[in-house]
Amino acid sequence: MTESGVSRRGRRRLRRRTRVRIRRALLAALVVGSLLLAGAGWVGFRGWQARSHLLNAAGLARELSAQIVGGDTARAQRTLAALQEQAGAARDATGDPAWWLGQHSPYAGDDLAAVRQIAVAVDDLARRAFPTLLRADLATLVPREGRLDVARLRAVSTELADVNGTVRQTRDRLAAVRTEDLVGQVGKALADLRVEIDRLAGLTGAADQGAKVLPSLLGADGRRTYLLVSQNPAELRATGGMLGAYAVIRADGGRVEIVTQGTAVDLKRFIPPVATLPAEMRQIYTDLPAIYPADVNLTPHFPTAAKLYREMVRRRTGTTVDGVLAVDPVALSYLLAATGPVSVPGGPKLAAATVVRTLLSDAYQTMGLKEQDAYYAAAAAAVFDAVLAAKVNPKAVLSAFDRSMAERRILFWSARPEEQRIFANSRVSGILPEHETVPSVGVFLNDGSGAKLGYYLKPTAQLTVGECQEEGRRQLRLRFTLHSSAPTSGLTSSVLGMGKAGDPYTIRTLVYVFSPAGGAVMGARLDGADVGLGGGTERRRQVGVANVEVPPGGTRTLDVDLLTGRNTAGTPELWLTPTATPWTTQVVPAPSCNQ
Amino acid sequence: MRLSRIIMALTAGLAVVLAPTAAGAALPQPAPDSKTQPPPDYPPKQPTLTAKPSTVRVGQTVVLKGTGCGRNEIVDIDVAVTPFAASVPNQAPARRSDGSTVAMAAVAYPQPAPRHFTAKTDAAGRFTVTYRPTEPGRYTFTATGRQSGCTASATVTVLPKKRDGKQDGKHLPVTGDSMGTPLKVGGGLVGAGAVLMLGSLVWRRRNRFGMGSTR
Repeated sequence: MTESGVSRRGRRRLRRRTRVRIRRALLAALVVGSLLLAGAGWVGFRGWQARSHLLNAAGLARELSAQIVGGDTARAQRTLAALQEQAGAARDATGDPAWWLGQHSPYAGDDLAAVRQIAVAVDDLARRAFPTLLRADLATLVPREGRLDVARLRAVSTELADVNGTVRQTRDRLAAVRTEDLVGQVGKALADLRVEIDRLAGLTGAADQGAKVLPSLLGADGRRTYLLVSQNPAELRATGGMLGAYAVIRADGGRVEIVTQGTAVDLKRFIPPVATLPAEMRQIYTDLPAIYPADVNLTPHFPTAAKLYREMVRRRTGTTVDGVLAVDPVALSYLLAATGPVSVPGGPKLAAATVVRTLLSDAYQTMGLKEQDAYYAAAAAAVFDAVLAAKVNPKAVLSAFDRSMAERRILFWSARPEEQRIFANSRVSGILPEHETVPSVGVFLNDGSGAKLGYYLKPTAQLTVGECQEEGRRQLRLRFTLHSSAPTSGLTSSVLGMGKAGDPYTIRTLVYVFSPAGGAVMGARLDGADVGLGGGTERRRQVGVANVEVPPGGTRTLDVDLLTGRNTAGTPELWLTPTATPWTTQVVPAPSCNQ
Repeated sequence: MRLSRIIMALTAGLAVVLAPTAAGAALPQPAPDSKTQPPPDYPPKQPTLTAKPSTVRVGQTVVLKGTGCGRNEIVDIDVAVTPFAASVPNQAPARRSDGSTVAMAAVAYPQPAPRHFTAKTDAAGRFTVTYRPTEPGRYTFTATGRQSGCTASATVTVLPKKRDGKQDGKHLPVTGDSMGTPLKVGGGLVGAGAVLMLGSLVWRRRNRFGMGSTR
């Protein structure tokens, strides 16, 4: 019995000792666990705070740019202050020691570090880039009494260089953050911010260079002459419309004035052609662009058109210009929205809502050729005066230009290569790129009827991303429709013109579909039936040409299958001829092939 | 950010002063003047040589249609081929999946497609020919009428033969990022905490009520 009593006591003691040991271990684990939980909770809480601050900051940044463009300086200042506060708070939230420790922990460490970098980047922009942009008073950059303040422009240029430096620095820092193992949300936020900052850097870079080059463009370093040409969408050409009236302009020390005016009719035609076109171009357009001023922009590549037109003007007038600027009446309507209606002696008033109709339709219907010429000259002079009047809101004028450039209704080419390079990546250059990261499909319209019926055309384009193909190519499907709202009778002969389609009210439009760079045009169907395409290649793009004739009130549908170049990615873009009635467009994306 | 775009707009600042001349946009079309030479009209013409389809694979057939030449005329058609730039995988020797090279040059096409051939137009000056390319590249066909001198050209892209028709057009399933890592970490921590809490609770209860003890 005693034996068993001893052994029972011993066993009890042993059990008690084990229990104590387990209890200690559990207690220690509990303490460590709670500490970890508390730390994670704290970092999580700060992260949540940082997230809401960053979200606020993003919203404010968007608001800020709208206010700056709208000219609401007082409000913009307040928004900037709020933005700085939010960005600063986000930076603080991610700057405490727990966060720092967190950054060195496994798993979540890189995510926390990335959030920190995002907060720092936004804060840097809010404190160092945006205030300068806000200070730069754009209003002083719009001409007063026909003159731009070149000295002020130079000052702004210096400030822009600083902003550009800051943005570039921020971009480089963000680029150094590793993204491989980031959590979905953080990775996406970082990728979005990178895209946004890349774009901002591109823009500040362009603005920086633009502001540097603008003074010399305006004749600060010696007198410059330019050709201002107007595109007439009543008779469509790839870049917008037939180049019609032109003016030779002189810029000297910031003062800009019209020297002479003329029309394409005065330039007549050139036999032999003014230039030997490359074989590639002749195959698509024949020699027409080098014979007729009305055909220089059969090609969508604006520098080619500008060079040819410059040469034609040189041959007829002896003036060699330093560059060519093209605008269209829709851009003019945006400008009139800023100036208000302008009355023209001897003709109808011009107003934003009606100017396109007045110039592209009514004038042909109600006036003879001579009357039209006189009216256009008077209209030009009247709007010229209106824009230079001191009452015009300069920011509204700038917004009008911004919109016109985004829609490719203002194009510029400089004869000086070093200046042309600066514009090369901007829409204003009208350069059709030979290499691209995101595939672009061009749909360009050239009138084939020899008539002024373009006013009645309404185009649409839908681009659908299709199957993945070998060599990293991708199939694209373009559906293009063209509707004509032309009447069946009652138009004058100056509108109906040559009536090349047979019936003078039927509009013949030659549709030039450009494949993405390095890609291909596969085939086409017109109203569902297979059609052969003419064409060739231009600027590394295969070009398919189809003849689309639309009777009054009718709609034709052209479906074109295309291939992208090798190894392109991203949602494709459409590049279209700007028309009098805007296009309706849609791009239907699809998931990337690599996923 | 749009601000900088606005500033960019300034680079076209000239236009601020000058755009009004756009009012002259609409102008009378160039009147056909009465010079002696017979130049073409200014409106561009519809294509006179077309290809259907515009892109084929090696071995497939293209239909070329021409219009606007003389009646019953012989038309010379020249073919210029520009090979694709070097990085075409198919230009490199074909390989098996184990990496060994396969010679497949002359076997497939003993007879290369001609670089020159002729067609005869019908009474309306039209002709139709077919062509079967034997190697990849951009093909430019130029037709020239022997009497009328009419010329026209068209371009066709010829892609390499499909190596294996099966794979074509198949998307791989789309996979996205997940919240995996943070959920795992958080869940793990919460789980550990819960286990510890429960453990300690059980422990204390057992001690208090003497459960499982013989005391």
